[in-house]
Amino acid sequence: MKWWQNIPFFLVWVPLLCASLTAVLPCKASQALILLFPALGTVLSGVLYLHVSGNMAFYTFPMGLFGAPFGNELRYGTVEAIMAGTFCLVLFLSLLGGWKRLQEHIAPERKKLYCVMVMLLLSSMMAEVFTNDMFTAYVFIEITTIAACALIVARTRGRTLFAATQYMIFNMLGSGLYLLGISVLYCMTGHLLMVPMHEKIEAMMASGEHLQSLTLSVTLMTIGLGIKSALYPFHRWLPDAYEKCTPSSSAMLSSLISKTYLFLYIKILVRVVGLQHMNALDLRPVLVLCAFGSILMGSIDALLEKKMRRMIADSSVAQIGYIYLGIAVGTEAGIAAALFHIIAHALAKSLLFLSGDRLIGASDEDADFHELCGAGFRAPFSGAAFTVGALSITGIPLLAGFASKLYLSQACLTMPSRWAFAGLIVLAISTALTASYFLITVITIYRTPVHAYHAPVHHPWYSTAALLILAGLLVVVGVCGSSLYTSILSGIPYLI
Amino acid sequence: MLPVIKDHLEEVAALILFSIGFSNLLLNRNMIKKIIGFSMMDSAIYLFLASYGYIAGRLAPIMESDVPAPSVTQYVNPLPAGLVLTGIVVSVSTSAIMLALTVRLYRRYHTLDIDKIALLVKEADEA
Repeated sequence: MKWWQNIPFFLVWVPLLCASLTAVLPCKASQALILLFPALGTVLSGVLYLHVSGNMAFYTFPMGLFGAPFGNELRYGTVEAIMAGTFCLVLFLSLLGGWKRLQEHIAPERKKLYCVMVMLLLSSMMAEVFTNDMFTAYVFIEITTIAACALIVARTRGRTLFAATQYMIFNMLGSGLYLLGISVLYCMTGHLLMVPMHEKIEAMMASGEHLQSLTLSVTLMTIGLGIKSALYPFHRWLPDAYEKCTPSSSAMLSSLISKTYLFLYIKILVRVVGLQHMNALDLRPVLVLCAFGSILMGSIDALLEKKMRRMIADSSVAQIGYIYLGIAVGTEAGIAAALFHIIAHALAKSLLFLSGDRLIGASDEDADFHELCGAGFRAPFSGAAFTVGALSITGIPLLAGFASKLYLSQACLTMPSRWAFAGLIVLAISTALTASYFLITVITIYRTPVHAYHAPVHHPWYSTAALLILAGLLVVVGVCGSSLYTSILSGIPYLI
Repeated sequence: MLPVIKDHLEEVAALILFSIGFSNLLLNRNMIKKIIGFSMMDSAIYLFLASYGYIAGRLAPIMESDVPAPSVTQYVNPLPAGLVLTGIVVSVSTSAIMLALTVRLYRRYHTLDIDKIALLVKEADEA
């Protein structure tokens, strides 16, 4: 085994060890650790990508003495390396961009606990990206849920407490359904590792046995992960959870946590069930309808919102709908488009939450839209960063959002004509709605202010640099989108 | 129908328990009852897994050094028991977090009714 083949293990287990370490280290050292490790994780994921993309193969890392099908293992290829790198980078930039607000919002005695939870979150995300075992995925899903709940409630306010409770209730429902789904699947196949499970499912599909049980189990997992990733109609917990917590937490919840569940769902569909069996299990109509519901209702809710943070949060529901639409296409191109959209949305949403919070900071806290008039002049850099994020989400050319919508539209065209037509119409309507609510916001922040405001808050240079990097990445991914898309597409055969 | 239920009694019981727990967690307004619903839901899944792992007439998968080991086919499958144990640990952690949140909510709003808490939160936001 070569040294770089240990990187996935390192990315999962070192943050887990560091989580314990942060509990005993001094506060400053803990805070340095939560910035250092995601940055290191980004570099290591880059190294992993260079090695696996060069060889165009997948690798397994046995966890313990027993190999497949008895032991537990990690499995990785190009796609896993890209996703791990993206998640580590966005986590690093989310923390850095909201660092000042983090120090203000989190009580001193809770700062270390916050660091523990960030490290746990990083470890669980990496485990969900790399694991090849369904039950390990469940365990780390629960760790993600607990860490996310702590990130919401870390900023003590009545609303965050209520939002965290709502978040937990919905996530417990989702976890229960996911666990029941894998239990049924385990009883049918006798395996927990994804690849042996898939081999048994292939045999079942060929013989036509246990089809109803298989459909039941996949449906349970779909609903479970749908609830956790805020797919319509299970999205009611989302705006409250994202709105009131500290901006770094909002960025992590929106850009990383829901996206990790989506990546796991993609892995289950591709590696365990098999894309070719999606039609036999009647998954496509359900996924397409939920995706359409998410896209339209998320956009309408965002349009009707009066507060900026809630508007950005509601917009996430629509963006999650886009990702499910790519999954519902059920082809490698559709999955690649969905993964591309995960990356584009993770970058844009972090930027929007971080820059949006700065614009609110330059106006009145908890302000309605009309209070944001002139915020773009009071905080010019944040205004520009917000505009870049908003234009990307809307789908303006040369930005990441445009490339992802283009790939999604192309993937939609491969569906049966009625679904393809409906998909394109929904994408068009949603783009118009997204343009409406984001352009209204951009125009508002550049309008003449209604009254005088206090002097804008000064943010440290590294937070501003984080916003600059995020905005730059949106442009780079938008301009060089085809290379990233090709890389993801070429890695999908090794995800199977 | 009845013979099928009789043959799969544990699975049917698990399904009924899961449904009760799920609906309780989703619909009950009392936070403590919600947590009980969650525990019930998870316990139902553990019952389902444990019943799958148990095979009547087979031995517990414990090998003793001074006793000659019987054939592997004489043991029950140890994996579901391992899954149940891991699941219980996860479930206890989640329940503990939920209980901690409930205590905090009760201290702040003096009620366990989630709908009343939602109203109080809304009123506090508007004030």
